[in-house]
Formats: sequence, C-alpha cells, structure tokens
Amino acid sequence: MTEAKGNISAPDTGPGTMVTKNQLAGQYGRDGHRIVTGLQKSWRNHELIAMALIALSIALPLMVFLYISLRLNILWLIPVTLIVFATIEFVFKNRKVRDKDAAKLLNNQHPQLEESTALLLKPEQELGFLEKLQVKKISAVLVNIASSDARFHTSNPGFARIKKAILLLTLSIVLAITVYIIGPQLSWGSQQINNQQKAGTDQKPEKVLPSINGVTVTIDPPAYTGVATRNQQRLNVRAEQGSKLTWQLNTKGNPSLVQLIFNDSTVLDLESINKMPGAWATEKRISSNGFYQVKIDNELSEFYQLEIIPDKQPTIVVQTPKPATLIEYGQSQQVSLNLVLTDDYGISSGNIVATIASGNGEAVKFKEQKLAFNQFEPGGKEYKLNKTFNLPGMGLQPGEELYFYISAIDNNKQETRSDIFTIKIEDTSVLMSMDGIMSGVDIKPEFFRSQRQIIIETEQLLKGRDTMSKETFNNRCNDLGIDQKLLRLRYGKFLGEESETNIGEDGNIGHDHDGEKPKEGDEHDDDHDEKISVEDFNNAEKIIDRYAHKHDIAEDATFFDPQTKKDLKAVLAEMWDAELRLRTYKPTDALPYEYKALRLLKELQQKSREYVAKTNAKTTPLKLEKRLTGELDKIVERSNSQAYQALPQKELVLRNAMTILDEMKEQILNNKNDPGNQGLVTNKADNKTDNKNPNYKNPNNKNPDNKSVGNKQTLPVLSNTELEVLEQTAGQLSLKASADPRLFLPSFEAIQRIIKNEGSFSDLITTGKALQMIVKPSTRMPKSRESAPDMKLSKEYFINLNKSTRGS
Amino acid sequence: MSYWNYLAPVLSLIFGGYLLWAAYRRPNKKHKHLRALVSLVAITCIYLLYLNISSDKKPVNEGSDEIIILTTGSSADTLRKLLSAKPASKVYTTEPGIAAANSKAILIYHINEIPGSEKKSPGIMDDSSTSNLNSTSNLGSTSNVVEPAIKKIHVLGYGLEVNELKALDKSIIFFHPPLIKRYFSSINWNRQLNIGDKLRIQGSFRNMEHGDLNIFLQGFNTILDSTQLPGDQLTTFQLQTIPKQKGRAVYTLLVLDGKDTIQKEKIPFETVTAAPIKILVLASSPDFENKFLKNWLFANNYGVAIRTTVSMNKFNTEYLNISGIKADRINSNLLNNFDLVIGDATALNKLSGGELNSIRSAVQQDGLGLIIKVDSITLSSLFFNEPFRYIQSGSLNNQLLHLQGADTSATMPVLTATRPMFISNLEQVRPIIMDKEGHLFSASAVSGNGKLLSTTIANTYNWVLTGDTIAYRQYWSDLISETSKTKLVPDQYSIDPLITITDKPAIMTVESADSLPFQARVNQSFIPLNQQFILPFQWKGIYWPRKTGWQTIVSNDSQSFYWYNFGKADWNDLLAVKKITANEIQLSQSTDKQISTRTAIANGFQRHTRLYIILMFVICCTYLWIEEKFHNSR
Repeated sequence: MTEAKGNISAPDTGPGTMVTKNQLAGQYGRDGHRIVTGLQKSWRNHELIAMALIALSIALPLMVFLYISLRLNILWLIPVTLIVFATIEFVFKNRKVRDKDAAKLLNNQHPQLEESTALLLKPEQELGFLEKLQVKKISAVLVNIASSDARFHTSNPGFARIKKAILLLTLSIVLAITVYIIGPQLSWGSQQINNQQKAGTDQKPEKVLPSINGVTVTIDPPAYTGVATRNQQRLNVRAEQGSKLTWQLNTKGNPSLVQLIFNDSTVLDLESINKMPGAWATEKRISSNGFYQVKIDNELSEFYQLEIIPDKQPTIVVQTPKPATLIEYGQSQQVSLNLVLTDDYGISSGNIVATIASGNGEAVKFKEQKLAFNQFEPGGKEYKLNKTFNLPGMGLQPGEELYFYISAIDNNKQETRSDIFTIKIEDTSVLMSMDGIMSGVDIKPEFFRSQRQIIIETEQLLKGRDTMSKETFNNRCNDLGIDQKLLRLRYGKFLGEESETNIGEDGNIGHDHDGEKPKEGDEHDDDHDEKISVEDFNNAEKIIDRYAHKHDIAEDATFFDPQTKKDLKAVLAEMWDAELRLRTYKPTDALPYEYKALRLLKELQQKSREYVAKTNAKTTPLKLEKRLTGELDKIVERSNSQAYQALPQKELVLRNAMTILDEMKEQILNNKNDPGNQGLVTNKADNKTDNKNPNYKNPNNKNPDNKSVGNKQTLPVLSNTELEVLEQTAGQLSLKASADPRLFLPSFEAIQRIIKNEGSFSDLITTGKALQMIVKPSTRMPKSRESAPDMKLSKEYFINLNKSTRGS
Repeated sequence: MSYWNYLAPVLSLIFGGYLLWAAYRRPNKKHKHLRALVSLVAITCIYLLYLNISSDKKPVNEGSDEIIILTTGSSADTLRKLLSAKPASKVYTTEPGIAAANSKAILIYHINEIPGSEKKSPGIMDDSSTSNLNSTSNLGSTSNVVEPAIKKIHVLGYGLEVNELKALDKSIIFFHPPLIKRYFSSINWNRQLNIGDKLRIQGSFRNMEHGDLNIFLQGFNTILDSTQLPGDQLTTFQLQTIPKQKGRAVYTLLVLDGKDTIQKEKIPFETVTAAPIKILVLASSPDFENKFLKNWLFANNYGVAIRTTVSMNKFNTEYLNISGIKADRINSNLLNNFDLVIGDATALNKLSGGELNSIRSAVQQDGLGLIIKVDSITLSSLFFNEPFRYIQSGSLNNQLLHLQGADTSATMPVLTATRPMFISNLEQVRPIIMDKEGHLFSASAVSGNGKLLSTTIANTYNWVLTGDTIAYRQYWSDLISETSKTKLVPDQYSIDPLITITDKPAIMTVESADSLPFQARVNQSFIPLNQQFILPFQWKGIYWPRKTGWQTIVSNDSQSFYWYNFGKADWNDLLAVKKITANEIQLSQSTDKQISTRTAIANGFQRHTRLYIILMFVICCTYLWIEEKFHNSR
C-alpha cells in the first residue's frame, strides 16, 4: 500500500504531467487521473526491468562463449548487456506504455469502472456534462479500487513479463554454466591451449631408475635467446643451443656413485649437494644433439634424449635495388634500398657497408663507409628497413661505382652478409675519350667519331643557344638530326637493311624514302662524295644502283654473328630516338639517347677485340705404306689379374638385420595366431561377420599387432651369427642416435634390449622401422636369366628344329 | 495359435454379415448392392492378409527331411532362419571349430557319414521337389510326417570341397553363401626377387559398397605405396616398391575405409643376390666406356676379362675376379667360362675367322650372349650384324638423346652424341633402348640358342661423370640381363596353390636335373616325391603344413627353398570367394538347377500377392468412404 501511495504521488514532480494537471482543474478527476498515470508508470518500469533481465539473459551465455573462445575479459559483460538492451529497446519502441493503455487495462480488469477510465485523462474543459458526472462517479470508484486492492500496481502485463524474464534468466544461467563446462571440450578453446595439450601428449612417458625419487632438470638458455630459465621433471631434454643444463636427482638411500653417461662415452659425475643424503646435482652446457643415461652405482637407466634447438642465422632479403644498377645520363641520382631482416631470437645490429671506388687503372681508390639504418632499433626479430642513397651527397662522381652489402648480426653474434650490390653512374667523359679507339684494331672508327661528333655538336648547340636566333637554332638542330640519320643508315647497312648509297646526290629523284630533300645532305660534311665519274660509265652496277631501288641486301646480313647484330640493332634504336628529338628541336632530350648509342657502340668495339685469329700449323705428311709395319715381336703383352677384396658392407649388415627382425616378428605373430582361429560361426549378422577377419578385433587401431600380441611376449632365441649381425647394427644405430636422438634413440634402445633378449614385440617394430629409414634403396645389378632343369629337353627340341629347317 | 485358424474365418463371417446388414439397412438405398459387394471384398482381403502373414510365421514343414551342413563362414542368422522354419532339421559340420561353437551341430569326419545322403534317381528327386513346392504353397497344411529320405540339403557358408560335393546329390543342395561385399578377387606378386628389383603386387579388389577405400603396402611399419579403390566397382591395382632388406620378409597389405582397417593381408617374399655373371670384353682400343664398365663390374664381384688391342696383334689383358684362364686366343674352351661377350664391332671384325667362328658357335649352340658396340663396321655379312640394320642419323653434331627403356619407358638422363646411329626396327629385333621419337639405340635379336644385342650408344660413362650412377646401372643391367647366357638351376621348386593354408594340402613340384630318386625334407620331415611319367625331371609330393610361417625345403643337394604358409585367417575373403564360385559352378552343372529359381519365383509371387491384397483392401475402403462422403455432401 505504501508503495502504491508513493507511486501515486510520483506524477506530481513529473514535468510531463504538469500541463495536464493544470488543465485538469476539476476536483473529481484529479485523484483518478493520478491513479491512472501512476499505474502507467509502474507498468512502464516493470517493462523496463523485464527488458533489462532479458538483455542480461541473452548477454550472459554470449559472454561465456566469447570468454572461452576468444579469452575476452568477463567485464565486457556490462557493455554487451547494454548493447543488447539498447537493441531490444529499439526494436520494441512502439510497445511503449501510454496512459491510454493503463486506462484500457483498468477498464478490462474492473467492470465497475464502466469502460469510462479514459474520461479521467481528458482535460476538464473538453468534458461534456454527462461525461463530468461519469468522471466524478468513476474516480470515486477508482480511488476505492486503488486503496482496497493491495496488488493494484503489480497486476499489469509488465509485472507478468518480469516473472517470465526471471525464468528466462535462470535458463540462461544454466545455459551459461553448461557452455562454460562443455565449451572447452568441444575445442572452441583458443589455439594456444590446444598446442599446449598437444605438446603434452607428444611426449612419451619415460622410465626412471627405481632408486630415483625425483628429478629436476633446469634448462638455462643462453642470455641472447631471451628465453627464461625453466625446470622440468623429465629427463628427455629439448633445449636451446648452448643452454646450461642442471640435473638435480633425489635418490633413495645413499648411493656411492651417481653418473651421467653421454653418448655412450663421456661420463659426468654428479656431486652430492651439501652432503645431504640422496641429493645429487651436476651441470653441463650442451651444444649438440645426443643422448645420455643415468647410472646409479651399477644400475643403468634407459637412454634419454638431448635435443638442441639450433640458433638460426639472420636472413636478409633485399627487395630493391637490383644487383647491378647503372644510372644513365639524365636519370635521377638517387637509389632507394628496401630490405627485410629476420632472425629467430633477435637482431642486434644491421648495417650497410658501402664502398666507393673511384679512379681507374693504378689510380683506383676505395673509400669504405658504414651506414646505419635510421629506423633500426636492436633486439627485434623482424625489420622492414629502407634507405635512400643520395649518390652526389655521398661524393659519388660520374664513372665511379658504389659497392655495398648489408650485414646483420643477431644476438648470438652470428653475422649474415647479403650479396654485394653495385651502383654505377655512367661517365660520359669516358665515352668521349679516344682511348682504345686510337690504338688496337680500329674496325669502325669513323662511325664512333661521328656519333661522338654529334654529341659534341649537340652540346655546343645547347651552349650557344642564347646567342642565336630561334630559326638558326632549329636549323642546326635539324642538321644534327640529319647527321644522326645518316649515321643510323650506315649501321643499318651492316644489318642488311635498306640503305641509300647516294645520299647527298641528286638524280635520286622519284625514290625519296624519308621525304627529306636530298640537298640537305649536301650541307653536311659527311665523307660521301661519290660522284659518277667518266670511268664509271661502263660500270653497270653503279648505273643500276643509281636508278634501281635496292632493298635489303642479303649478303650484308651475314657480316656479323647474331649477337653483334643484336647489339647493332640496339644502337640503331637509340639513334632513332636521338634523331626524333633532334628533328623536333629538343637537343636536351636527345642527349641521353646519343650517349647511350655511343656507349653501346663502344661496347661493340670492345667485344670485337676479343677475337683471336686462327693460326696455321703445318705437319709433315704421313707415309701410309710404312704405317703399322713396325716389328712388335719383342714387345711383351701386358696382362694383369686382380680379385676384388670386398669390404665389410655396412649396408649389407643392416639389410640382413632387417630380415632377422622381420622373421622374429613373424614367428611371434604366427605362434600367437595359430592356436585360436578355427570356428567362424559367430552370432553376428550375415554380412558383417564374414567380411571381417576375426583376428582384428579393434578396427580403429592402426597397428593391431602391437597391442593384440602384447609386450610381454618373449622373443625367439637368436643364433650367434644373427646376434653378431644385430650387434653390428646396434653400433651403426648408436651413431645415428647421437646425431638425431629424437628419431633413432628409441630404436637404439630397442635393439639393445633385443640383443640382451629382453626385448618385446614393439622393440622389433621400432628397430625395423628405423632400419627401413636408414638403409638406402638398393639398385639393380645385372643377372642372368634362369631356366629349369629339363633334362636337355629344350635343347633337343632346338637341335631338331635346326635339322628340320635345314632339311626343308 | 491353431484356434486362430478357426476363429479368423468365423470372425470374418460375422463382421462381413454385419457389414452386409448395415449396407442394406442404410436409409440411402443408392448403390446398396455395390456397397455390399465392396464390403465383402474388403473383409475377404483382411482375411487373406491374415492368412498370408500367418503363413510366414508358421513352420512350413515340420518333418526332418532337410539337413543343414555348416561350413566355414556360415552365418548364424541364416542357420536360425532355417531352423525356425524346420526345427527338426539336423545340422552337420566337418569343422571341429564350428561344432564347438554351435551346440546343435553334429561333428562328422566326412560328408559320407550323413545318413540318407546317397544319390537318388532323378525321378524320385523330381517328385520330392514338386511336393516341396506344394508344401510351401499350401499355406494351411500341417504335415508332421517324418520321412527318412532327405529332400533338401542346405549348405551354409563358403561351401564344400569339390570331392565332398561329388558325394552328395547335387540337385537337392541349396547353397546359402554369405554375401561378401568387399574382397580381393585376385592377387599375385613376385615372391622371389633380386636385390634392387621391384616388388610388384598386382591384383583386383571388388568394392561393392559406396565410398572409396585406400589400399596401402606396408613394410617395416612404413607405408611404401598406396592407391585408391573406388566404390561400387572392381578395381585392378598395382603397388610397387624396391625392398631394402636382403632375405625373407613379410610385408602387409592394408585396406582402409577412412581409419578403419577392413582387410590386412600378408605379402611374404624373398630377396636374393644375383649370381655374378662372367663377362669377356673385347676392345679395339682403350676407351672410357670400357674402363667405367670394368670398374663397376669389378667392384660388384662380377668376373671380367678385358682384352684391349694396343697395337697390331698386341693386347693388354686384364683378369678381374677371374683366374685360371688365358684370353690370348679365343676358342670354345675360353668362351665356356663366360656368360657374355661385349665387343666393339671393330674388335670383333679383326678377329681371325676361327676365333669369330668359335664365338658364333658359342652363341648359337651354347647360348652365349654377345653385346656389339656398333661403330663404323656395319657390314651385314658378319654374323653378329646379321639381324641388325643401321641408319646413320642425318642430323648435325651434338645431338641430344632423350633415351628411355623400351619396356619400362623409364627415362634416362640426356646424352649428347655426334651423328648417332639408329637401329632399324625390323621384326626380328626386340627394342631395348629407344629415344622419344622412337629411334632404336639398343636392340636384341635371337641368334640360334643365344642372343645378340647391338647398341650404338658409346658414351654412357658420361652419366657416371655427372653423378647419375643409377641411370648407368639401369642401362647396363638391362643390357647385360637381356643378353647373358641362361643359367641352368639345379632344382626348381614350386608350390600349388600359391596361397597355402595351414592344415590344407600343399602340392610341391620339383624340377631337377637329378635323375636319382628324389626326396625332400620339409621342416625336418621327409616327404617322398613321385616322379612324373611324361616329364621324368618333374617330381611331385604333397605336404600338409602344420604351422604358419616360412617353410623350408631341403632337397638332395642340400639346397634350401623357402615358401610361406599362410594362417587360417589369411586371405580369407579371396579364398572364400573362390570356394563359393567353385561350389556354384559345381551346383550349376547339376541337372536340376531350376528348383532354386522356381522357389524364388514362388517367393517373389507371394511377396507381391500381399501387396495386391493390401491394394485391393485400400481401394475398397476408399470407395466406401468416398461414396459416403459424396452422398452426404449432396
């Protein structure tokens, strides 16, 4: 009741109701209106609480699932709940409780209100006379109802919804708990957990000597790895290379001697700790794979693995630039270097070691400098680094070369160096020099000179550009283009291209290939001053040449080998480009092409120098009649006899051992199987029984032999020769085991047990498998075909066949 | 149960009468006759259905004129069905194991012991079969007469042996083989192989279920080869590996369905070292080809005599792993020491006529092998060139040869050759080595009793120089094995069947040059062998292996031969299917195969009649219902 009162008085302070309150001045409707709005409010509150509960019951299982699968903090529950709440609120916003709804509810619940509660909500001014009367009557009734009914405020659909929501919440809590318990088993759990579990199951159980109470092996990896010291209770060790291992053994009683025997050879004594009885310890730094045994007094344990995780060298991957970069005239003199450095434990330094080589011949000078990367901070495992070489800034002149390599050092002081990269700026002055052209075999000097000349003239033209008129400039530029064209045509001739022998002559009318006036050629001081002289009148070829149109000359095409032709073609392509720029009055743009053409020509010239001429050698002619007629009577024929001393074949021992092991295995299996496989009438259904072999009771077990036979089976007794073979095999296996204990140590132990006749069936299998792995596949050897003895029947047949064929 | 037989028709009559009364009493007189008729039909249908169903449950014949013989693989379900049909049938078996497992089974030692199982004349048999049919179709009959004559013999399981079948009257045998859905229908492999040879397992597997299976070859717990067996079909497969051990071993053949092992069978075999061959090499000049060949053969303990011409009639001779002979003159005595002669054509051509003749007769009479390394001497008048014709390649120098074995098409590394020569592929030659285009480089031909092989490749040592010794060994193994003299083995053993089973007879056959009475010792027990009349070098005997595993035969000359005897559980399905097929063939050959098919038809008809009855009943009810509905809606 008090609660109800509080609710009734609540609307007084509500700003929303203030307006209606003022308008509803009538004394009758006031209380009734209050009651109706109060009901509406409590209804609305109930709805909100229910909604919050629903939101919580949705969010809770969701959150538990997220917690298991993504390891999300459980505190996220609050925001998730709020989000769900907001969503529900948004979806059901048209289900808002209005005062009309409250009136309707009252009408439905209380028939004595005569369906007139809505009138209480109307402003007084709008009420008619009858309505006013009704309001008066109804509000009295309503007040009566509200005061008499204790559950007036809870008897609305909102309250019922709260009840339902509580039920839902209970269900969702149950669901959340179920998810929490079952979830991890359904492997929703994160990958990390799975890996840990796997690692756990991967380790096979190990046997320790009965006199050992407890073992602690402390693995202290080297500092550079950054891996923390760890303890383990197992004797099989997998540790980082260079780790310090400390063994602490607790023994029963007080043995006089506790030792570790490494790789069947090195012995390490354990020392008693503080003279405490039964506490022993020793330490050793391991750097290679191997295995060891524990020896207490005269008791030897099984073999334990020592496996090291080697430290890898840092790797360097250079993405740009290419191994050799040539910066040509006009290109940007900046080179950017991009690379990736990676290491397993961390890189302590990464540098560029750059060398600038300047000068040539005996005056060559080297300047080495170490460049650091700006972004590098030591200790990381992976870096993406870049550096831009500003070549002029580094003092690199044209013609000089920059060599550099990248060196990375990891935390273990292991250094890796990349390949050497070279960057070279093209030296145009070398191209212009006459070295190598003046001396030696001068095959095509004039052409080189011409290309050089064009370059010089282009540069002069550019220098004098300001002093001449535009027209003159353009003309001279065009002239240079013509020069370039002439030069190109000459080279084209070597390739058997179409050429004009008579450039700069008249009379070539009617066949103008390039649409240029022949006169223009005249102005140039090219050495093409062929004129038809009087003597040539009889020279038909010359006359034909003048008027005929000669296309590609096949004969010319065979002058050079394919490589030279290819190079020449490249030269021509550059010349084309140069000519194009010159003819369009852009000498500045033409220069790089001119230089490139010159460089290529120069290379061509260098190549032609590698040619070595053939020299003739004269031998005296043979007298054929005297050949092979020497007297050889007194020459003793050489004869040599040898027998192969077969070395003891290691492989053969292993091959024989495989057979011995397999036969032992067969014997055990057959002895086991023979007594019990007679009756086949079983009580199973027709098809199933007959399809399956009764021996295989566990079809899921991949290796039924192993288990069905059991490990208690005693092995057949071996003969001495067989034992000898197995002992030799054990010797070879021990070498393998010390190199790779993880793979071969179990088989080494197994074969030792077999030799001592303590082995089990699974030992045979382990050893056989290891041998199959070790032995190399055998290769074929020639063999003769075999035939069965047939009392010479086939031979008789053959002889008779011969006779009959001869007879016919 | 029996009073139902009276109650059912009475009930049906009462119910039918009521329905008739109801039909005629109905106010709506329309279709009243039709309705009455349909009601009667429906009631009859119900009654028939009752009869039909009860006939299934009821024992058809309670006399013990049927017997059941259980063999290996018989299913308990079938037995139960048969016994519930005729509880008085006697159950026999010859297998102690089955007798132990099944209390009803009477253990006998031979089928003959079954009383009344003797063959009868076809006339009586015909009679019995018809009466049989009558009894099955006559639903209500209950004949309790015990007849001494057997009318039916049910054989359950994989079936009887052929001789056992002969003892029985085949025409009254009803064979109930189990259905085997996944089985090896055939299998074979090379049981003895030389070191370095491939173990090849070939067979076929019938997989009559959906879903692919995987077959694995496992040796020393290592998977060596595998392939897939697709569902719903018969697949032939081949698995192969080069075994690593020397001696006997048992590999395993696994058939897996996902992770389930369906079958696991043993593959026993033996690897032996090949007996070294003695080779005479005749060379016209020292060269690398001979030097490498000599070194390789020498290191593998092969006997090699190599005679190299160093000057006119002057030779450098080397005897490797061979002693007591002189190869300065070639005659038949010298050649008897060798299995193979390798010579270049020039060297052979330079031999005197007598020497060449002795080689010729050794080849043609005694089966000596001759490998000719072809050079410029290609005259076909020489006997060793007779079968071969050579074609000079027209192509330029430094041609790359992509060689491969003609049989195996195993590719070999590339060789370069200057103007190589091809051997024309005539019908008398057998291709050994060819290139991708099919040009022959090595070919063999038969010459009398022996073989000639001609090869035009002269630089195989390049393979050794590049480190590919495998190709080199392969090449020379192919050539030498193809050509060398056939070796006579003193004894040759074979065992029939190929898969012998413990406590089942194994027939041993020995072929021996020894004409003395033959006796073999198998696992320390002497087995007398019987000389065959037509082939006097063949001796046969029967051995009953008592234990699973390797069995040893030691013959007169104390040579050992091994064979593997399988256990009773090995190759079960393969043998079972074989036995079932054999039984079915035997039974189908009998005169009266129709019986089983006839009963099958009768059964089929019965099954269908039930359907018809139900259909009829449904039609009747539908008519009654629709008529009612139609009338009411009007």
